[in-house]
Amino acid sequence: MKTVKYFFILALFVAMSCQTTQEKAGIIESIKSPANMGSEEPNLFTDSKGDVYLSWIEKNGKQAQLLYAKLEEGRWSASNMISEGKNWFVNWADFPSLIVNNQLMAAHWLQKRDEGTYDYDVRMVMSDNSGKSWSDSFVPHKDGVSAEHGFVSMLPMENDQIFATWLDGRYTKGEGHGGHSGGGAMTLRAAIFDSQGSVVEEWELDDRVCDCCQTSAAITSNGPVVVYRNRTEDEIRDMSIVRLVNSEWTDPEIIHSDNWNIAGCPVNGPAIAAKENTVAVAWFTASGEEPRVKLALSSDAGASFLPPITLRDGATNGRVGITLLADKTITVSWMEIEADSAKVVLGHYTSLGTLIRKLTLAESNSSRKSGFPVITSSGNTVYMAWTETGEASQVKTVLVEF
Amino acid sequence: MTKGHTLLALLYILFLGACSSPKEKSFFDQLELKTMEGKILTVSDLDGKPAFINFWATWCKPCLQEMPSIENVKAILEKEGYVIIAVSNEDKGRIQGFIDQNDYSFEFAQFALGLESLNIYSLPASYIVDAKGDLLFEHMGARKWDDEENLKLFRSYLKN
Repeated sequence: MKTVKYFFILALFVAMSCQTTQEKAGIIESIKSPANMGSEEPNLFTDSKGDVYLSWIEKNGKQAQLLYAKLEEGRWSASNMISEGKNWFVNWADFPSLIVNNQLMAAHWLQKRDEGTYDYDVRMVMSDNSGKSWSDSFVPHKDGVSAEHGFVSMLPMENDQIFATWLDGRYTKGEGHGGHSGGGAMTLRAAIFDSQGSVVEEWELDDRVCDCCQTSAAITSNGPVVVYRNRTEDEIRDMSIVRLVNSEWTDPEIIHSDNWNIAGCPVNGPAIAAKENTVAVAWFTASGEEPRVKLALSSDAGASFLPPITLRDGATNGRVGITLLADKTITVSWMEIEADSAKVVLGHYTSLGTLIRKLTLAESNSSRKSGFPVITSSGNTVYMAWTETGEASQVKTVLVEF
Repeated sequence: MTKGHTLLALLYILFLGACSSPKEKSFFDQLELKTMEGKILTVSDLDGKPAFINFWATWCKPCLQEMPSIENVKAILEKEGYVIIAVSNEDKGRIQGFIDQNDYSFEFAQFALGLESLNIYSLPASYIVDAKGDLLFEHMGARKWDDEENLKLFRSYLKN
C-alpha cells in the first residue's frame, strides 16, 4: 500500500514537472522599475546581443533628465543619466530614445528653440564607451530653421554608424497670425551619422507627411526601411513605407489604402519590426469613423505586403507597438478603451498573423498623460514599458515569456 | 382618507418619482467643460445662444493653423449671437501659456476626460450646439471656418 502511495506521489510530481513551455507561456511578470515617481516617456531597445535597455524622462521643476537602465539578470540596473536641461520639449507622444551599437550608444531628445515658442529641434548625443561618458549634444537636421523637428527613430548600422529618421518642419514656416499658419508641408528626412556625430549622408524621404505621428524604422536584408503616416493633398492619411535598396531610397508606397480622410492630427504612428526579409507593420486607423488596429506582413523586405489583418475593431485608440520573437511569432501591443479607462493589450500571432493568445498587460487610462506603451523583445520574451498615471506618474515595466 | 390610504398614496408618488427616467444631460453639459478659472460651464452660461466648440491642443499644428479663422468667426458671428469656445485637455499651465503668448479673444476652456470618450481620434474636432446644448453639427479636422460656406453653415443654425 505504501509503495502504491509513493508511486502516485512520484507520478504527480513527474506530471507537474512536465508542464510544457506552452502552458507556461503568456505569464506576465512585473520588473521593478528603475524610474522614480514623476517619470514618463519610456522607450525600449534590444541590441544585437539581446541586451535590453530602457530610457525615460524625469522632471524636477523645469529641469528634465534623460535616463537609461540596462536589464541585467532579470533586473534593471541603477539609472544612468544621459543628459539634462531646462528648455526641453517634453511631449506625451514624441518621446526620446536610446539605441546601442556594440560600444557605441546614441540617444535623442527634443529641445525648444526659444522659450515661449512651439518650435523645437532634435538633439542627439553619442557615447563610444558604452555610456560611461557622452559627447556634447548636436542637432542632426542642418536646416537651421526654427520649426518643429521630431518623431525620431534610430537604428544601429555597420561600421559604428547610426541611422536616424525624423519629421522635419523646415518648410512649414510661413506668414500669419502668431506665425502659426501657412507654409509648406512637414517632410520625412533621414541621415547616417558616424560615431562622432558627423553626417555621412542625408536624404529627404517624403516631401509631404502627417505632421504629428511617430515614425518607425527597422533593418531588413536590404537595409533600413521607414514607415510613417503619409498625407496627400486631399488629406488622406494612410501608412507609407520607404526602403533603402542598393544605396537608393524607394519612392513612398502606401502599405494599404485605408483612405482615412482627416485634415487633423491623429498622433498615432505605425510600428515596424523586421528580420531579414520578414517585415511586420502595425498601425491605427479610424477611416470611416471606425477605430481599428491593423497588421500587415511582408516576406520580401517590405517591397510588398499581404492584405492587412484587423487585430482590433472598435474601442481602441491605437498607440501600437510590435516586435518579432525568436520563434518567428509576432507580438503587437495596443490600447483598448472603455469610457475614461484603458488597458494595454498584447496580441501574440503566428508568422502568418493567426491569433495565438491575447493578454492584458496593464490597466491605464485613455488620457494623453498615459503616453505610449512601448515593447521590445529578446529571444521569446517580450518587455513592455508604459507610464502609470496617478497623483504622480511612474514608468513601469513587465515581461511576458512565450 | 385613512392613514393607510395616505401612506399608500405617498408611497405611490415616491415610486413614480423614482421610476421616471432622469432628464438626460445635453451634449454641452456632458462635456463638463471648465473655464480657465475653474468654473464648470453649463448650458445656462450660453445665455440662450448657440455655441461653436473647438477641441484643440498646443501640439496640434492643424489646430493652430485654423485658429485665425476661428478668431474671424468670433468677430463676425459674436454679434449675431454665437458663443465661441476653444477646448483643450492639456495641463492648465500649458493652455494658459498659449493664451498669454497669443491674442485670441474667444473663450478658452479645459476638458478633463480623454478625447476618445467623445470618439475623437484626431484633432482638431469641432461641434456646434444649440442654445439648449444639444448637438447640431460635428466635424473632425481643420477648416477655414471664416469662409463663405462655413459662415453660411453657422448662420443656418441661427435661423433654426
